Amino acid sequence: MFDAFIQGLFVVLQWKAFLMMLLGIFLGFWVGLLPGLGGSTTLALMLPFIYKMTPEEAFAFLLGMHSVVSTTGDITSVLFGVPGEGTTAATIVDGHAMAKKGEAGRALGAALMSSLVGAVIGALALALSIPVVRPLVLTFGAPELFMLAVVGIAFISSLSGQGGRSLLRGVLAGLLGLLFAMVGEDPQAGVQRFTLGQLYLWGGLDLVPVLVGLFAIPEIVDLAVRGTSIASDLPKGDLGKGVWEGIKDTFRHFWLTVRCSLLGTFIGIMPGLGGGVAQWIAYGHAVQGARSDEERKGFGKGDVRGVLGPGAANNSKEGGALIPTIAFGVPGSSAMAILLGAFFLQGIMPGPDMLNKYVTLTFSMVWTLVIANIITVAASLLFLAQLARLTLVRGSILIPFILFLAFIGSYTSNNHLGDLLVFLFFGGLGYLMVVCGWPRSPLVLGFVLGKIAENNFYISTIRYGSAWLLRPVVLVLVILTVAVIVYPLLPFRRTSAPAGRA
Amino acid sequence: MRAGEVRFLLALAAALIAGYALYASLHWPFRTALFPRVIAIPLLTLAIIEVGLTLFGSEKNREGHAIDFELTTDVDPVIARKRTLGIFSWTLGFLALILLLGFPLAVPAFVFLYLKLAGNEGWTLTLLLTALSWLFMGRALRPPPPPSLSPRLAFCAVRLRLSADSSSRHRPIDLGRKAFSPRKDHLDREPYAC
Repeated sequence: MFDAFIQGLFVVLQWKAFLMMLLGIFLGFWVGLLPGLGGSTTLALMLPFIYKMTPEEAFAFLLGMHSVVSTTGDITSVLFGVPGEGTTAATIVDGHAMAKKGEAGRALGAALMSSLVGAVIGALALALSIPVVRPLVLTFGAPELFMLAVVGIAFISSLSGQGGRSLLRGVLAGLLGLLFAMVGEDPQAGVQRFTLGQLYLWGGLDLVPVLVGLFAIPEIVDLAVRGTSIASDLPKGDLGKGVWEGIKDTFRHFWLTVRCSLLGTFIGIMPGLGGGVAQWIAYGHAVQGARSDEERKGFGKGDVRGVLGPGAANNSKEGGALIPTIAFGVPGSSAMAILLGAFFLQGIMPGPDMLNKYVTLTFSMVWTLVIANIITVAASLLFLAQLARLTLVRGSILIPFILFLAFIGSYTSNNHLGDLLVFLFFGGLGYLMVVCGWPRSPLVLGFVLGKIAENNFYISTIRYGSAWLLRPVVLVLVILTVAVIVYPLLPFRRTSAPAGRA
Repeated sequence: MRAGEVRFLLALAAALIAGYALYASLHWPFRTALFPRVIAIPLLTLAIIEVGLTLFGSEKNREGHAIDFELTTDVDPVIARKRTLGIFSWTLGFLALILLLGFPLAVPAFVFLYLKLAGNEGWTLTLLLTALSWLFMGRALRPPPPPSLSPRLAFCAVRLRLSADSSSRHRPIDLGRKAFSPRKDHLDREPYAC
């Protein structure tokens, strides 16, 4: 096995495979930076180009591209408050707040280094877990996956505010997200739900215009209201200095980064959950790490731990998502489903063969994840000071370009007028939520999880009736959900610091 | 409109959405309606509680603190309101421009108008950035145009645009998702048919 591990490295370092990986990294770098241009879309677009490649070149190219998208997506999220990728939206909450305080360099340094740590841990998990992961994945059926979704929403709702009132608003936002996910054709019976007679809504609401609207519009409005640059009137020297500080932050909070990476890997392994979920759970975990209510209040206003958690998780989930894809042919995310297509195009059947006949190829994927992220982080760090200076550009110059990126990013999801209207609707909703103190993250998580949760809920009910509620893992997850909701309301938690905002 | 009134309206909107979801689910078969009901019932209950708290809750409870981005409070509220209305108007204006002219012309037009009218930028910078946005949109990306809300106006605009660049509609920038959502694909039909 160890020989195959080393051989995997040499496979990636062969000049043709390495060149393909560099090409993939170059593409992934820009795809990640541009909002709305999704990693999955690009992966699908690139599939036809792998016909003439060997499997080693093909996977170096595709994985090299896909594994760096979240890394550079964090850069756009931090600098402009617009998610570069759907999987990097959580980085905005604290990363962009840091940029506004003139700490763009520090936020970017933290995001990039935590991404690298996350990618390495995800790749290590992939390397170590393939022989032992089978029993774990098989333990989780539809009832457990449904409850996992419930735990996720309860988790993020309880951690997205302080006190009972914020918990109420968090749960409301999560439930609204779940309801928005139900727009479109019912997957079970094919009945139209909440489509308002519009053909566009038959396929449901697309994630990209929803995310871009929710996060970009409030930022643009705030930038226009302030009438300054993103980093206001701070001196230029502050920006570049923070890069190394951000890198050091990753190691100051190393265990948080590792825990969030492991969370991301675990969520990546669970089929159907994906990076959209991993980042928010990791963010919730980072908030949970706050020792006092006062410390918790700092989240959302530029706490570096809010950058480290999602930054690590959205990269480590790639290694995790590859585990069920390679080991069982069960894709862990939409991107992995497309990658599964690449396996078939190359005439490879995922499953036991990947651990015997193609074990070197499997380990070459591990190395690709690691090397691609090292190269991307190094390249990004070289230009980081220049990128961070963008936060000093006047708001009046930035606004038309951010608006244009937001519009074009939303429109490219389906090339349909409806995308623009959905973007504006959710932009308005996002703005109102910010004005009213409703957290947006539970809404996003509910929206991402909605279809998966419904599907698993339906299968559980049809297959087991109400007996699924008594399954051991489900019971554990129910207790966990109750604990997650009740814990912030306990009296000793409230007396630790004055409640409410001043 | 005061913040308290906005909070009340948002909670009320959530209650109305939940109510509509429950009402709509009455007309669906059981398996289609099951999950929407499971979600809409607690949503309606909690939204009504939030409406009640917004109306009758104490000042401390009305506030609450979300761990999320917060709008700036350093600007005079009257100016802030004026600027907020302004940026929303510009955003809607941008949409109108896209519908009338398509992305390749709307983007440079919007960049020019915003920089000159809202930003009061100098001519050199305005023209330079407008040219850059035109190059980026018109020459590099070239997304397909969205169908227009006003066919007659759009037809005139398109005639003008086609004379400037007859090939722009045939080079979509992103076809990747089309394979996965063919119902939303409008490329096969004529978007400006009057």
